[in-house]
Amino acid sequence: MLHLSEEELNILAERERNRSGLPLTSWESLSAQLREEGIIRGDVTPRKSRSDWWMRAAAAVLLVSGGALAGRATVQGKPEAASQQTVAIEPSVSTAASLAGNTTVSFKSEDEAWEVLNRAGADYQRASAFLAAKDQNAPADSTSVYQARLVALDAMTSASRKALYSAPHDPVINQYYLAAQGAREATLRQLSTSLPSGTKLVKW
Amino acid sequence: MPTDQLLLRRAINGDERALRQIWVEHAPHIDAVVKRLCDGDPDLAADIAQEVWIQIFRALPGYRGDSQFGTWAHRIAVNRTLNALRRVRRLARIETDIEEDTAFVEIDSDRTFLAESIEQAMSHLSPGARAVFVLHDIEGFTHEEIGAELGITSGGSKSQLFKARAKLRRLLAPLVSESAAGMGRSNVAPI
Repeated sequence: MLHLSEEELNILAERERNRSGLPLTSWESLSAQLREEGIIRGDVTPRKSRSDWWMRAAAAVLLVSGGALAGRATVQGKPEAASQQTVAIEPSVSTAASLAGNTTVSFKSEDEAWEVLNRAGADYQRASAFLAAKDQNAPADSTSVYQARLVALDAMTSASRKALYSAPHDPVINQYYLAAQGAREATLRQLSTSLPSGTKLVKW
Repeated sequence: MPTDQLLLRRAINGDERALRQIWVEHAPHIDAVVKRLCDGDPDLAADIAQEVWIQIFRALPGYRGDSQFGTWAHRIAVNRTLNALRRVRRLARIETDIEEDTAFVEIDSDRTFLAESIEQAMSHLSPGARAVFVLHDIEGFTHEEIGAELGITSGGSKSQLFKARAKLRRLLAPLVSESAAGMGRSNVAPI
């Protein structure tokens, strides 16, 4: 009488392990019970009220424009450096302009708006890191400046991370968190290059 | 795919979107585990799967990240399902079944039955043998872990597995391709 070999049975068991059938649960029934038990807290379903979205968009504009302005302020008095950096921060400025200056801007969907918001945040972060890395105004004792900046950035990271616990979807807090992280990395790179020869940054 | 730490933090804080994302990512696997252990009873499996997910989300603040989230959730799914089955007295039958070593007793229809899939074949195993086979060969538990889960010795688990596999190999004989069998070799037919 024919039998499946041990190896063939192993193959079938492996296939069974990776097989997924029809779902047994639905989010509608599950979420209702989770809400009853207090596991889902508050109404976090995306609200589509106009005021909510206007506030978010306004916050993003402030953040991105603020980033661009701050970047320019740090390079004042360094025309050569400023001219080089203008190219680098162009995406932020143009994104800010497209959001803030162009009043006819419209989005076809929430996804599209989020995409623009996220792109603006990423541009802002890259520009901040670039400007921090290219900052030629550092005083002679730059190591202590970088260290002080790192302490401040760590405090900002910690504060924004805590804020994310209570408002995980807030785009402004998310961008601040990411920006602080980006600036921290750039500062660490600067700090490592400012150390006396023969010494190496092992830990911060 | 590792579940993102920030996503987990948001879920612990009661964020519905994060909780839903976790469910979307892991439901296919978790629901399949529950279904396999429930022996083809779709209504019971659905009830238990709901319980399992509630338990996973209740336990979320206790997840320490020592193992992958999927592995951690899988353990909860198995424990919770076995507890639920015990509650509806099915597991009592499994344990008695193993203890009395009656798992390999076949009824007449089983002697002639040939399965077309492993799922169909598993449904013809006794509850005890089925539970051990599912936990060991499919869910990856060790015999010691199965012993702890089912309240039997690891030796008992090994014995049940041996018998379950022997029966499955016979029930699944139709999946041996005839041409390969003729040459003294066999292959698992595509499923």
